[in-house]
Amino acid sequence: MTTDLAALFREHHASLVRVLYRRTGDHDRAEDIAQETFARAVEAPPRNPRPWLFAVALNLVREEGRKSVRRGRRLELYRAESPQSSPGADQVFERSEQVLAVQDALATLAERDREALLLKAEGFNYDEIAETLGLAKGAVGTTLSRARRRLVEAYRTQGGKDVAS
Amino acid sequence: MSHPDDGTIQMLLDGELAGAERARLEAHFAGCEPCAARLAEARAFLEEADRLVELVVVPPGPARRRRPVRRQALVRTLAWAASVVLAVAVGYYGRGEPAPGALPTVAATAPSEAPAAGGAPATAGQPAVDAPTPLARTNPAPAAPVQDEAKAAAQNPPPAGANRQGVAVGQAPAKPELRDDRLREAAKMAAPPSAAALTDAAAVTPWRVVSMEEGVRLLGGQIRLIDGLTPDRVEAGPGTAVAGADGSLPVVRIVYGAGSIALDQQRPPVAAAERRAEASSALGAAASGGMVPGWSSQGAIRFVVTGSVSPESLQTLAGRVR
Repeated sequence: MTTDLAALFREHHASLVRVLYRRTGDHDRAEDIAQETFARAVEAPPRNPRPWLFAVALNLVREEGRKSVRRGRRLELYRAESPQSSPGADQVFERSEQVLAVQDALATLAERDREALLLKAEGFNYDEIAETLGLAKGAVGTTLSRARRRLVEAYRTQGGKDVAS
Repeated sequence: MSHPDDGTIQMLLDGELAGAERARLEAHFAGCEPCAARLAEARAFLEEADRLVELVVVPPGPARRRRPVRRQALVRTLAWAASVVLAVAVGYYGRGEPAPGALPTVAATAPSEAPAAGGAPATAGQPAVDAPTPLARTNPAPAAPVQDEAKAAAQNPPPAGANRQGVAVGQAPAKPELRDDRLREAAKMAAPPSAAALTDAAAVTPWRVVSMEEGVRLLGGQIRLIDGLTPDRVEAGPGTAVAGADGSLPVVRIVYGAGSIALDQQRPPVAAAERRAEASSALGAAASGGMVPGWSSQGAIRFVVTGSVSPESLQTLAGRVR
């Protein structure tokens, strides 16, 4: 049983905030929810910290989401090139468009699909994803398959540009 | 062997299968063209999805330390209530007449945390520090125009005994430390540049890099950012360094794209903002919400986005300020 909050924090905080930020698109909320999650871990030390922390954090996001209207992110982005534009600024602008398009594409996914995808991006294996999301392990592969396909299709539908590897 | 389902293909791609099971599947893909095509497609989706997710990175630096909404609303309500009570108290003492019938009603409905009116008659000779509420003291968005008061107080200090109005103003509900810091900072930075500095502006920049927390403190509240962009750094400079800015207040600048895009912002005192709005309304100007083209208002913050991109792109970026 891990009861050392400092160790828990060191090990999981950055990853938790990253998932929460990708899930909510809001750094403040991500930090707030991460703090609340660690506070709960102190009150009731988890046996298996990683799935527990992420399950609690994602539950908090869902609870909060039910209470508040999600901030609209549908933005009409201007893509015209300007002869006065400097390459650096245009690259920054274009990248920001890609990020917003990805966030919008993520928002179109079903909750479970999105969360499974974000957890996989953090290096979770199927057992951990199943435990965190309360899924049967056998359903994780199907969930990820659907999530990946839908994310890419939603991104392309919005006119998202190819992302170089 | 039957054709594997999508979930099994994902398991293979994600390294969740091993040993004999993996060997059997690989043998199947080697001999089944349609399944090999499905595998290739699934791999392409996996790689593309991974790249897309990796694009969304947490902005560097700490979050903006937003105060919980409920508390902000409470503080605002208390400040408003206290200012109403204060106004009634000032009017009453200014007239030197018996209390109007409405006064007891207003005072009676004011929250106990805002004792300005109740305390004014009994503590007319007391120092202002006796009265303010602990909660209101930390409020960064006072109802009263603190900065203007501070200037007026400096130019025209009240007599030692403090007349009734002076005491009442001194008991204004919010005299936040945050604002005082901002005033000090503004005074420091708003000093007119020397002639040498003007002639050699490129050599001496009025901007200094500050932490996000320092930016929040200077701004007196939550910093605005451009959605979808990752800030490089936060800078602070005098209002005199930015066209259209209030020269008496510091400007907090969020720098993006190695300096190619900047978001400048200020938080004018409430009264100043109202005067500005009235003036712009009287002039029929400021369709964009600010006195100067390019500046916009969002809540208590005025901001402008500048950069070496097209005007349309700047407009788009300004629309993404949160």
